Amino acid sequence: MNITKWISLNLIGMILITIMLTAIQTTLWFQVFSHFPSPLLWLNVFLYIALYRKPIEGIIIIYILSWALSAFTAMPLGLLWLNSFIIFSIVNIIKSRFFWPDAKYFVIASLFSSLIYQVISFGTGAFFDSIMPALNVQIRFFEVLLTPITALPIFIFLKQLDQWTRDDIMSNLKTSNQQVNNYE
Amino acid sequence: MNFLNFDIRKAIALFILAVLPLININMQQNRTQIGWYDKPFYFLGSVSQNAFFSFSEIIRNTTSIYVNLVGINKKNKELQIQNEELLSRLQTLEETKKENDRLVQLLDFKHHSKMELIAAKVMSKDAASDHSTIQLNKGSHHGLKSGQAVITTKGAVGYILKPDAFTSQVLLITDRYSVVDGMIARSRARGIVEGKNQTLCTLTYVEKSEDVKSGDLVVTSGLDNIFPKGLPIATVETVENKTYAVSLKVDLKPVVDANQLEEVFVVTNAMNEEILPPSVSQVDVETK
Repeated sequence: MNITKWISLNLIGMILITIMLTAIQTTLWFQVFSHFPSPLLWLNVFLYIALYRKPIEGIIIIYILSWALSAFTAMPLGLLWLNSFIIFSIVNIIKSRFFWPDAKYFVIASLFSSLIYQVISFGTGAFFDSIMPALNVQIRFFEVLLTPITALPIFIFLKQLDQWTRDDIMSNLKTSNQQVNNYE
Repeated sequence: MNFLNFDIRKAIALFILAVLPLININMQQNRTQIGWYDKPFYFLGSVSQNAFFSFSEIIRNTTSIYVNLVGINKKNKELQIQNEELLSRLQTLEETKKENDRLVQLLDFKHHSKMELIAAKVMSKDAASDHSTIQLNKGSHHGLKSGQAVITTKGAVGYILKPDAFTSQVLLITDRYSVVDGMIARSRARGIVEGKNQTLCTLTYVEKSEDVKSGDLVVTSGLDNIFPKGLPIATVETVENKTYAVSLKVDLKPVVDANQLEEVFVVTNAMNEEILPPSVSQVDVETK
């Protein structure tokens, strides 16, 4: 199989994982824990893309994933794209300052991104919608708390997917890991 | 590679990608229609949600059996197992009785109503906590269309936003995008019921001269072509009459608690039925 086919396979995999994780978040969690706030499982996939893809490629993938996500929410696609774009940009700016490709970093980044998602979604909702979104501090707090807890298994799963389908990314990561080790 | 170091082609591409959401927000017109380009995602979404819905029911049943069997003593193992089994059966029977009562109530409502109704189960909630939507296990295949009212025996729940083939997204009356034409049952003062947060609504555009009191029942006016007339929506929590404001500020508590929804009705044809709302005290008792 050529590289384009592997990239397409990887993208389809990412879409299916996003849909599965969002279905778990909205249906399975809801059926088991009722209206108790759920972790934002999809956000961990978005974060993974933001950390392990080149900027343009990453944004395009995140837009496609947001499109898939729009089937699960009343949030307009434009707002979903805007929120994703801002999160992607902030994560990439931080990534350009310090980044080490391992699970601990991903969990910390997950905590940070779920926090900024709450701020951004509230801000964009307040700016673009005629009615202010509700503050819902309690719900947002639990979402921020629960999202990084679920980050580790998602990270391992997505890394495995990349190992199967995107050898180019994994070899780049190995090189950057070696550089970090040499520096230390 | 530094995220901020890019050439002109990348800069243009990034600019286009950054502007795309803003263009989309401005061009958005009809949010109730699912375009052909959205259908694959909706299909995959509904399939996975249906799968997890069935799976969660199995998990719940298995967990309840497991929980009932925890803590068995070795000495009276057989007796305790028998006892626990009986208890488990009793619990299941009680659960079935409750479900039966609920379904009898729904059936009774359906029989006594002239409206054409479709019963549906609540499958899931919105992926973003900023919005209050639920997903039903019935869709356009069962005759559901966007804009149809979703109700329970207690009152209004919301309306169908985006129906897929086998699932439908319902915008609850507590969502900030939700708008329902309502009126005070006692004084017939009219206003618009808008969602505020996950548990509250507001009644807007109520003239200051109108008679609105705390505890009043707000019912549907039937003018929005969504809900039949007279269906209970909420009770008035607080009324503020500010001197500089042009209308009254009325906070409402929905009569239907969205957190406890399990089964709902979708009104496929209201048949011009006018519902006689129950007295406020009766709704209060039901809500409590």
